[in-house]
Amino acid sequence: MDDSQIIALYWARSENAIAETDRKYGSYCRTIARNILHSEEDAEECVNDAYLGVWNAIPPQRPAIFSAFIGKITRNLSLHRFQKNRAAKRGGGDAGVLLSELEGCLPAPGSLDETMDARSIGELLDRFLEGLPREQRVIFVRRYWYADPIADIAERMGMGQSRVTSILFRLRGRLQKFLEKEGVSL
Amino acid sequence: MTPFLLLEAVGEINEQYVEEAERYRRKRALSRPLRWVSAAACLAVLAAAGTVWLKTSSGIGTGGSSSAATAEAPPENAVLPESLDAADDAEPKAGGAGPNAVLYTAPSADDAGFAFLPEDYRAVEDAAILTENGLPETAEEMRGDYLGESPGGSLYALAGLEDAPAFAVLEREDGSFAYAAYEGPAESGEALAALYGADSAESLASLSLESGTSRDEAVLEEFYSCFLALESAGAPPESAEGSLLRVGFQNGLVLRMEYLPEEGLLCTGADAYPAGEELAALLDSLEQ
Repeated sequence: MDDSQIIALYWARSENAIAETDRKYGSYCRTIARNILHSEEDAEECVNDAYLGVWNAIPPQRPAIFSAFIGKITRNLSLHRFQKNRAAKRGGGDAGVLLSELEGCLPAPGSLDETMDARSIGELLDRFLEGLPREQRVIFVRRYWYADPIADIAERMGMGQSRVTSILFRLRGRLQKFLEKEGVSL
Repeated sequence: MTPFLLLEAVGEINEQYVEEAERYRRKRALSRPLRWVSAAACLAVLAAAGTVWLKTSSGIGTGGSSSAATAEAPPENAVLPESLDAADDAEPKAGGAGPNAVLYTAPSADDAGFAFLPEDYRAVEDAAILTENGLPETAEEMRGDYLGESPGGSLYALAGLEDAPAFAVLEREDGSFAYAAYEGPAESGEALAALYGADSAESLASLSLESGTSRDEAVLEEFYSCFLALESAGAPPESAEGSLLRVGFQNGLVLRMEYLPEEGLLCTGADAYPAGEELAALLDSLEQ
């Protein structure tokens, strides 16, 4: 079933909407959640919550790219679950490693408007990503949006893990410089 | 900003980038026998299509109906190719440059270009240099486009650093891989900057002399300005002793030069550049 048909089911408030979503995107969503949480149980809960989130969002929304829409809901729920688990000192997940990596991207204090929210920073990131060669952009998004392990990214890109690591290292340096420059010019 | 906020913000990027990353899957290069099979198969298809076209256009055999080669529109629910851009999936050219050395031209600020010849690259023996430049141990994984033949073997660009040809990947005759560094002449500071992909002062990350390091933007800007104005005075003196200057770049690479304060020279392995008063004063201030 294509995405427009699935979306139509949500608009029709059909019971089959979630079943069809799970059939097409269940594995995709579980992978995102599992990458972040490293717990099947927590991942399954987040995916189920994501389906509920989609049910509540459509209508009135009619997402242009359904996979990215549901992926984003799953990702957000998983990140917040990760944060909650970390506060309760339980669970693991690659998100901790991602946070360590991104620590190196933070602009110097005072160089970026401290009141910027995730959406505003996301717009900056769009400009950063737009300037990247496609291969590097894909690697960045697979690592920090999809939370893919390095090995999975290397396989997808047809390159060695060291090369992926090296490219990510350089991208983080460029991102830091970009955020500092953009913050000053705001 | 916190790392978590940044990670959340990544979730707010344009959904087209998310979809692009989901669809992208690089095809592995075919082995040589399969390349020839592919080529032969393509020729066979073209020959067959040509035969059909001749038959249908001239009316031979089929009574002159419209071309049988009309492409059918893909069905509505056709699975889209995983790679959005077919050009990106094109096979890399195998040994494309042929027996003649390829001139590797790095972009410069005024797009004049500088030629860094493959024959001037030498294998890097010192592991410390690789570590200093953030290069992973396995050179083969960093292999990019074929550049030409060097004395040590076939030379390939460093993947991810194509705009900074200071380093390359060398495939030796025995099939082993190593990193190679450019050791040829660079007539000017501009050429050195192009070698390290530095197109502005913002490309610099740090300046280190043996006893001091600066990451100050004003210092880096001043250095870059003086650096671009350097002009080679020929080969470096053989026996003079000086201090090691490390110029760090945002792309992770590090240029090593020897600073000879008595002679007022900045030297690479191939060139000596008169530093000038301004640059000398700046470098002297680093040591204090």
